[in-house]
Amino acid sequence: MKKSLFVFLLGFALLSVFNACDDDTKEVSYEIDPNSLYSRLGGINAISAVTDQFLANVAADNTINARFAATVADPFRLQVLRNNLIDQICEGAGGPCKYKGKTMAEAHQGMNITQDEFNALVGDLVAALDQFNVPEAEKNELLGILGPMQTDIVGK
Amino acid sequence: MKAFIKKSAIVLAACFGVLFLYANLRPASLTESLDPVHLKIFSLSAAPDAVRSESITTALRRTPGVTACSVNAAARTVSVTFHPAEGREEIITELIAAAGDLEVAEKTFPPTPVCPVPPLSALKNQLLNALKIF
Repeated sequence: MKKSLFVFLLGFALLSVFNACDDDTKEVSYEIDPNSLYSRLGGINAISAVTDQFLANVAADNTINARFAATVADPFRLQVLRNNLIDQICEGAGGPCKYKGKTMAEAHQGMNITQDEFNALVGDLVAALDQFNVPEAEKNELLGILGPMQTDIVGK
Repeated sequence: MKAFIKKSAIVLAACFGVLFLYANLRPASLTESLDPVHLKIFSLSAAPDAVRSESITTALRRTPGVTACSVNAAARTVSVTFHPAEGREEIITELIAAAGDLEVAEKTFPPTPVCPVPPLSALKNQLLNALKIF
């Protein structure tokens, strides 16, 4: 009886570890539609470069940078934020990424983000896209994908 | 009691072993395969004029390891993202000071109660990174 209980507990522990880590990388497919927004933006390296510029713009923006102070101070939290942003843009643009973070509503719950703060964030993203000379059509397409998230972010 | 401790130790060791194997054998996603960056925010002793702002931006962009930078003259703030393996904070600080002819210090913020990235997500990331040796 004791032995079977031990085996059960061991099996349960192993399964828990596997399941806890199961969400990361399974479904990644690297087949890319050459006409997708992802391809037109320039792929993962271009999205990564724009994301870094976006983060730098946000960090220098006194309207909102205090919101990110704790994340910026911890390299691992920053890595999670950066990867989530890249995954979000990449997936939304039809690229081979999968956003693994919380929903926008969950992530911003209790933050009481104002419309001005949201507008400042969008302004920082637009400035990053402009710096890399992203054409107007691609820029508007991307903003059209990310824009609807506003209702889940502002005033929560 | 002794048997319980022994069995618990075996279970914990097995969990650690599985986590270690997972950290090292799982295929990294496209995003995880990117080099990580650090982000630093600096305060300037005075607002730089347009020429000095441009000088700071140019100097930072030329620096190996720097992936992005932003100079907000009105807010006397400079932010820099860089690959920690290539760039060092001290060098970046000196570079901003020299290019802008200003005193530079790391910007501090009052603590904020809520942050969009929970510490637990970062902890999982940190644990997997610590276990990943191959």
